[in-house]
Amino acid sequence: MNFEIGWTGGVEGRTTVLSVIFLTLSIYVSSFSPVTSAIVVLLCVLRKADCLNALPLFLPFIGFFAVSSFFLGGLYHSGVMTLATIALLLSGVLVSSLPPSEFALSLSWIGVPESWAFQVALALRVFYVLKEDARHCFEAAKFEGKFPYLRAVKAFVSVSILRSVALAETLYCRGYSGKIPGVLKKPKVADYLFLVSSVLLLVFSTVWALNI
Amino acid sequence: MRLVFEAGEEKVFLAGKTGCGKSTLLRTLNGLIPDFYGGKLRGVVSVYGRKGNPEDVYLVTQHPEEQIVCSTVLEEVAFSLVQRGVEWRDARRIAEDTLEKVNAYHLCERKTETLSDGEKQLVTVCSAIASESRCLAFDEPFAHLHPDLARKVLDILLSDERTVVVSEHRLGLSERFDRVHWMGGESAIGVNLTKENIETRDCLERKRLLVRAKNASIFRGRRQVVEGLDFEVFEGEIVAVTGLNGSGKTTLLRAIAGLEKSDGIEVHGKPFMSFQYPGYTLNSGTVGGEVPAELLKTFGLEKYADRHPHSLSSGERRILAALKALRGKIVLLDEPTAGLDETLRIAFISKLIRIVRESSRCAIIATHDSSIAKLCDFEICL
Repeated sequence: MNFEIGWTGGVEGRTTVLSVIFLTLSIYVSSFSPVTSAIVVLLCVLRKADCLNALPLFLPFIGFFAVSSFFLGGLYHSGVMTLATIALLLSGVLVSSLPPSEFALSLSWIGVPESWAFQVALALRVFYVLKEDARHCFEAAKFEGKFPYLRAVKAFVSVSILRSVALAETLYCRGYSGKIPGVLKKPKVADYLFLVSSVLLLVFSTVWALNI
Repeated sequence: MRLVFEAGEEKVFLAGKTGCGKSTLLRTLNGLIPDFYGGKLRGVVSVYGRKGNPEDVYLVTQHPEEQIVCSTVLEEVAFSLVQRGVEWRDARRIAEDTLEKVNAYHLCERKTETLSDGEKQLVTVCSAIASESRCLAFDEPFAHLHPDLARKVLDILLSDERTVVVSEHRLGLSERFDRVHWMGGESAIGVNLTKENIETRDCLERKRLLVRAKNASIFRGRRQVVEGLDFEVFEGEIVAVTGLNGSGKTTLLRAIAGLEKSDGIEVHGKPFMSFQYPGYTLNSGTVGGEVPAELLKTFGLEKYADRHPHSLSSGERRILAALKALRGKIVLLDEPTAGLDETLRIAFISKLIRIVRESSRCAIIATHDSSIAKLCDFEICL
């Protein structure tokens, strides 16, 4: 199976981050209503079909929720919780379609301190490096006879520590002062439409929840 | 030690044996030592009248992968300027101008994670040039580059109007610098070793074929990287794989090791690959756990037997990872000598060749180093 999570930069940061917050809140406020979850899934798919590519990554997680909720509340409960899990994951994964700097600048725009927001962007960049490191450690361990998994994990832990020291060194060398390079894009009509849809869904979910 | 770099356009080449302190000196100039790593500093280090600091001295270290902190090339090159308070619009313009100056403008919008090693190195050099630092220091900037690309990067560095200090083992590049400063005394250069005078006991009665490529194609993911490759490697043979950055040297080794898809490659024996970054291969708690004591003794590493492999210097780790690959019948080494000084490099590789020949193994070495390629039985140029 070959799948990738990668940003394409097609969406605007602020509206996406706000929309993700509103969509997530809608699911929680409606107490995981299947209608709300289905609308969230539909909106996410319409907004950014790429996020579906990442879904296989979470299959074990979704499977775990489906099975555990079946034993806790039966088939219907399992279906509702699985749909809600998929909706939450898809709305979260929407963020991954943002360039890390756009995401960090958006976080900063909604009030997160700039240095914290940059560290999120840095973590997204380092995630790729560590993913490659993990792949290479597992490949290297294949050449060894006994306990290749354990050996790979040991190598990966050591490499991760060295990488983090090197990264700290780099930030020092480059005079890091917590500022995020880049500038926010201007939202397009599609960005506004997505934001309005998510606000409307939150309002309806809240009203519906209050009426019940 | 007394060492003075002239402010302005002076270009200084720092030479010396592996472990003589070149990297330490550069880290002292930009304040990493003692401000970041701690340690004791005796005497005076004065950089434009102040103590060593990253504002005046921009340091580029050896691994470009560890130097890149942004997700696009443009942001990466503009990063240092933004940190110093330059507005994004101005920083972007300077970054674009710098990339254009080095004929790398086409990289502007690329994601940094998709760059090749050579391109990453080029981007780190551009970041240094775009910075407003008065002195640019480079710690082995050419270690992973093909000589042609190294010359191109060197042209860029030497055309800069600031003080440039480069620590490097490829002495052939030093001629164009204003001054060469030897650390720890001038090393024995021009080691005249050829493949004929590496003495081996000829213990092979009948040579067995270990690797054969017949009109072979190699794929990286779905993309075909190499096609129409023909070669045969027998027991006791040492082969160099050379070519430009991104030409498929590592991919060829990975294909022989069974890590990449290929057509037309036969492998008869257990392969063991040592990766370019030695940390991937080293996974035991001690150096002694990685390599037998006898082998450590042959290469002068026996004193480190009880130490953790990752506590060794970069060059020693590289040697250790290469020695570990001797566990296989087919020894695959990706840039085993990058970052080693000439004397150590030749001594290491000649011992390695001797062991490979005497033990009926074969070794396939991906390298940018022509002196290593000359010692091999034949060369596969990609």
